[in-house]
Amino acid sequence: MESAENAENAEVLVKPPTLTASDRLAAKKRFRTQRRLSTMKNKVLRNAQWATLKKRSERLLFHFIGKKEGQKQRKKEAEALGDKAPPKQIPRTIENTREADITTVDRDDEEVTFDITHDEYESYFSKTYVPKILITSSDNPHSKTIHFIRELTKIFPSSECQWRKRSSVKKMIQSAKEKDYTDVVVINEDRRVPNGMLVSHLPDGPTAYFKISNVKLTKDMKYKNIIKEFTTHRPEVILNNFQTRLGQAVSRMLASLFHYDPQFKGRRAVTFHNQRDYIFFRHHRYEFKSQKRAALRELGPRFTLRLKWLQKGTFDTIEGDYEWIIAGKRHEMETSRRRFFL
Amino acid sequence: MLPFLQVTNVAFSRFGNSGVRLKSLADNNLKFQMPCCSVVGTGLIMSSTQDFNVYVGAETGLFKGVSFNDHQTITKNLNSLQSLDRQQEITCMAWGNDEESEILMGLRSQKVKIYDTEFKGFSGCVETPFGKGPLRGVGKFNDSIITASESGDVKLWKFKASQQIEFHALTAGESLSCMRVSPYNKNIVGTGGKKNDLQLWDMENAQHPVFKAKNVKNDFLDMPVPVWVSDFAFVPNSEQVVSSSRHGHVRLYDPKSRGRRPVISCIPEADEAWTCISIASRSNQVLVGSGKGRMLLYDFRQQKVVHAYRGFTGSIRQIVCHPTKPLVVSVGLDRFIRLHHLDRQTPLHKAYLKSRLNVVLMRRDFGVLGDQDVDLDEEIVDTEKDTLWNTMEVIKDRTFTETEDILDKEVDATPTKNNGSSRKKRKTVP
Repeated sequence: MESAENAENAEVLVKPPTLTASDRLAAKKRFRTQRRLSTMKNKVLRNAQWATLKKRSERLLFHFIGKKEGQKQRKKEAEALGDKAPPKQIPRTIENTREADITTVDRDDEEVTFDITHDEYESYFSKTYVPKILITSSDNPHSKTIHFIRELTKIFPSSECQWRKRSSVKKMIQSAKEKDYTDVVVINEDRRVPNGMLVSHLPDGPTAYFKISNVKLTKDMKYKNIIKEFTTHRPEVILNNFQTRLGQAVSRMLASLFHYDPQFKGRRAVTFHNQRDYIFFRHHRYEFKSQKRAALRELGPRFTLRLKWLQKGTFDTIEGDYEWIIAGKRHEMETSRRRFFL
Repeated sequence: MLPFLQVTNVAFSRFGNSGVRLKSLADNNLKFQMPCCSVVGTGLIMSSTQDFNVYVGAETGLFKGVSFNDHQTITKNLNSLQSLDRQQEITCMAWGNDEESEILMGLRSQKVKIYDTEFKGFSGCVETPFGKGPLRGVGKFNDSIITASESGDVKLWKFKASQQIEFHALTAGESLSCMRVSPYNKNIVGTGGKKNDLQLWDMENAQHPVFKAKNVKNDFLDMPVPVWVSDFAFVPNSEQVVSSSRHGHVRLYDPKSRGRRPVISCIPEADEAWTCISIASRSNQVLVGSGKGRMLLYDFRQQKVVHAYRGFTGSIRQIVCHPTKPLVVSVGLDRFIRLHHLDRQTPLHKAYLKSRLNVVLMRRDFGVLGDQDVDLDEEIVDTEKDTLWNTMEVIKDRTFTETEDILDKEVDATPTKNNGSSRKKRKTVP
């Protein structure tokens, strides 16, 4: 399919249409504007100019066919052919050419399902306890991190935020166990911005460290005063595209931070979407306009997570056992652009 | 020729996977899909049909048999999922006898399951409640089972209650990590744990340890060096023991030597917590595996890392090396079992086993193609060329002593600044 498309474009490129004198003049003028594109210092204007160029269907000099024009043409041809039309072309993406992973979870496999259901989160998924989360940060957090932590306390139901006050993680975990917390979340800060999240499940559960990027706080969201739309209803948790065994472990860990019984009345949804090993967090309020369509309003913070390591047992980076770690092994593990671990 | 082909065909069909296309021998386009076919006679080592050469214990309680062959790896669950829960986790495993026909498995719930490899089924389950915590060591000692729990309580279970021997191995420290019965020295049993250094016990007189290791000297800050023996192994044909520590140390102890301190104590690689150790088939070399997925071949005599191995994504729980062949099987939390050759970085084979793996055992008759030692220093003996050189006449036979004399004369002639003789002339000031 790829080669066919190329062949089509090649055909177009090889045979330029016949030109009149006025056409040539117009083309020259346009070419002169093209050259100016690289000298345009203003990125906004430069991008706008490029967009207009792309949309144009001229094939002269620039030998370029606009993407939209191409689509329109193909649609016309398909309609004209009717039943005999060639099948719709599927674009090749990195996701659909992803390297096959042997650890991809197949829910029909009895042993894999057994392994998943009998892991450390068995008690959470059998609804025996309500999670109680302790959220803290590194020492001396700045405003962005403080706001972020406060928003996280609104996202996770039954969570508390406390200042770090120079306590070590191991001691913190020990005292949290005594006070019946079920999870500890530590937000690390670097250069005045949250950059890491450590999640530790308490009664000897697994510990994971994520890198946080692209944090967008509620006050910086599109709608003003969106914070007023926050409710205390327990949200629904949506976990997308966690395919491998490691992905399942991570998704269960993230799911266990929320109450197992969501309040659908609140129409609040929290999404962890995994794509190419990046986990995107979004927080929406939805309203069904019809049977199929739902209107969404994005509330709350937006951030991206990337797993750095997953350790069996509570926090013990030096002496503990890791279930998955990529630090120091990137050359060995990142062998191809189409290989993902979650 | 025909019988040769027949043998191969039979061998492959046992696993129901005959990739050999048998054509007439006269056919020049005869191609075997199996790359090893040309060396079939020695390449395929199968003692009997459907035999597993490696046994693995998983965290879910599953006991698996793995058969590494030249062309494929076959795995099978030897017990079913129905009766399993977290308390059935296999925490330690050992051979029950020298013929390797019996396997003892220690569980988290302080039971010992016995598997018969010839009969291919479980032959028993013994309740061995003594102490607290999961079983950290199991073994067979004079036809009786010996177990050690995490709280340090070791017990030899015999029929008569009066004959049972029990002792508390955790004289100091938090928990026991490992207990092993020595295959080379009679009656010796070793234990080691967190903040509890290596101890060797004589089962006939188990009140006091025969050998109790002493910690190395305090470090440069005069602080005691922390101890956490994660695993240890008995060196064959000697009384020595090698141990690995989660604080990064790899140590060699010799009970016969004067002093209880380790003969050699070193850190192969900084900031790695060694979780397992195994004696390699080459002298003075051991294999260590870490919690971050590093596996190294370490030489005690040279005190340096000889080789590092690739392919791991998670912690390595146990390593087994063949006693004579350069093959290593390793098992870990990333749910893979890997077979490495001692000289190659990438694994020869690996298999995904779906559950976190704790323990592994390897048969003595284990073998795959390419298991021979790759000796890089070996001289290629070419007899033809040798005879050619030997027939050529010798021009002059230069003796070493002649040249030695010449060099000495040269040295005496030239006066040097740091001449030995000038130093000797200098008198020491009282």
